[in-house]
Amino acid sequence: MKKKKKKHIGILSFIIGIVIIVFFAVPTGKENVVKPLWYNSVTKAEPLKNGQAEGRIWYRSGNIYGYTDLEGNIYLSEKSSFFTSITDSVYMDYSKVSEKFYIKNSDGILLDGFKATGYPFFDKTGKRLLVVKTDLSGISEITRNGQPKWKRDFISTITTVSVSKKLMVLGLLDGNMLILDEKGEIIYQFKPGGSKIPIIVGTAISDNENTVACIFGLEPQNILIFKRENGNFALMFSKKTDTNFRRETLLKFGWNGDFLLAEDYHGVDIVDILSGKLVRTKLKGEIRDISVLNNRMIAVIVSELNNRSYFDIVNQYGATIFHTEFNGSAGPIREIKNHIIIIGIHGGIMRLDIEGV
Amino acid sequence: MKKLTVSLVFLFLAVSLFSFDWPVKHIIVTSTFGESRGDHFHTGIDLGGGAQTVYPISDGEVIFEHTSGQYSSIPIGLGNFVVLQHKGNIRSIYCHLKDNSIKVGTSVLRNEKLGVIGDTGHSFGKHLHLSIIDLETHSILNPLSLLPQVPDSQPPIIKNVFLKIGDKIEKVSHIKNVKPSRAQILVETYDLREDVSFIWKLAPYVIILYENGAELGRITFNSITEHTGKLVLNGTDKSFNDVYKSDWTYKLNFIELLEGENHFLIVVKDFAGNETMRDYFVKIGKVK
Repeated sequence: MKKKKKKHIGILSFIIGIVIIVFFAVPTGKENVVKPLWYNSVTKAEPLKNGQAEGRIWYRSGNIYGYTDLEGNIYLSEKSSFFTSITDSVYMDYSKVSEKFYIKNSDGILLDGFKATGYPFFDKTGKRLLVVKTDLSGISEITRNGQPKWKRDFISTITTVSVSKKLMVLGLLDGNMLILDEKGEIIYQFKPGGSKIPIIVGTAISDNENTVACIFGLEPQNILIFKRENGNFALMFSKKTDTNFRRETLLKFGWNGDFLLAEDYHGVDIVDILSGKLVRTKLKGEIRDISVLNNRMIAVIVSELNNRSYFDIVNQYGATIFHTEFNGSAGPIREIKNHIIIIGIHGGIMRLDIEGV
Repeated sequence: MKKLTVSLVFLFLAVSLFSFDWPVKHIIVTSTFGESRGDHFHTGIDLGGGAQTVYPISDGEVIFEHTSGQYSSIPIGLGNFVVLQHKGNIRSIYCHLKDNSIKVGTSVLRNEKLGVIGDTGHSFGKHLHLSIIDLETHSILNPLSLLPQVPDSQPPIIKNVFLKIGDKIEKVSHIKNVKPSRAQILVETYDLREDVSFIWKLAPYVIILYENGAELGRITFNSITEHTGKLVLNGTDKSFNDVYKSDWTYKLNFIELLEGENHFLIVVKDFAGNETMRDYFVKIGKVK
């Protein structure tokens, strides 16, 4: 009886939360207004059969994935088998012991299939197809019909990977950070010193591929930033953190690569790369996702604590300019055209527009 | 007397600091180091025995872990896993652990529970994949070389031996009308799991080829290192494709088949030292 009551209170508070967000636009300071446009359940949705393939946006909400558009029409709604790699044009969903993998388009129509001994995944554009060995001792790039482009193995377990158009940053268990080019050749290798335990637990690469960052070491843990000048990467920034994460951590570049956002114990650290200034934004729970809106100098962050999700928008000074919370899990955050946010919440997806005033 | 005491203290310290224990109480090795995984070496050992408690192989510090639901930039085949740092720059990795079973903390003693055997990640059933990395030698070690020996009475099986001449592969017993030529020896061999009555194949530890009493080559699954972006058996340049013809068939060296009777010997050993030895004679006809 008590359990039922608790469940009812949870559902009620969730609905009230949604109502508040949907019906009341929230001013977020002088420049930004967060305007919720719609919320759709993805578990009950009947996917549309027809519709323009262009303008499809992938979403995830819990273990449901699929495609929507800016109006909130659902085109595909599937339950993830084990791992789903999804981009706006193609996706793969596979079980934990798959040997054959199938690439489908946003209508769920089969495009390609291939065999691999490992787990494949796309980069965020869907143009690069990579396969990580299941024991995390190697990575390769293949074509969509499974032909190898390059392959590279390591004695040390891969702990973290960031992929861009032409580069890949790998963090290894032994403390090496490697930058690979599009042929899989190592163009830069760095193993810092100064920590009791060498290890890389997070990596990031900026959209323009000129800045790379990693979280290195235990006792102390450090943020390291590398800049490319005249074609070569070199260490240009290093700062001890207050953290000692013993798991993969979130790290993201924002605002044209001038800022780095790094997960910390109490929220997110925002590093102004040019000045070296670090500001701290305090958030509840463990960070689940970070998305940066370049033209607005704000970041959208989702965190989670005790099955409650916290949605925060912060500026580059670390100040929270919008905050709301929900029951259940939330994320990941999709950022479209620099002002539209699609986020998976509690068995549904929500669109929020961030507009200037 | 004083010298002896000091030596004994050092010996005790060395044994306690650098010795390793099995991570489970009920030891069932279901897969050995170096086995074929289709296109790469198995980089550890697998231990069965159901949902047993997993202990550290030695006192250590938790330096990395992954549990389902945590953020990850890549799909994780190791499932829920923990990495420990031990003395001597040794790192041990415990994989496929049961959900919510991993001990959270920074340091663990060898008698403290680390987790429970599970089936998470790329796994066909409950097992523990144990992998050991030596950062000093930059190698992945065969865990059996560090762990206490377990009883094993069964010698490995040599199932078939083939000769590869040009593109043609034939069983050595079927060789007829062959001219003097260069041939590669291929051997289908495996060790057997101790605790089951049916055939459960395990990779052997060493395969040696002798010709006329002289060693021509060997494959040893002792440790793996990286060479030009590929994993190779330590002390050799042999990558997976240089070692495996298929899952249980290994590529040995080439021999020159000369006119008359040719003799070669294959010795296969498991980790406990059990060995199987076979002589082979190949008759080569006169060149016309």
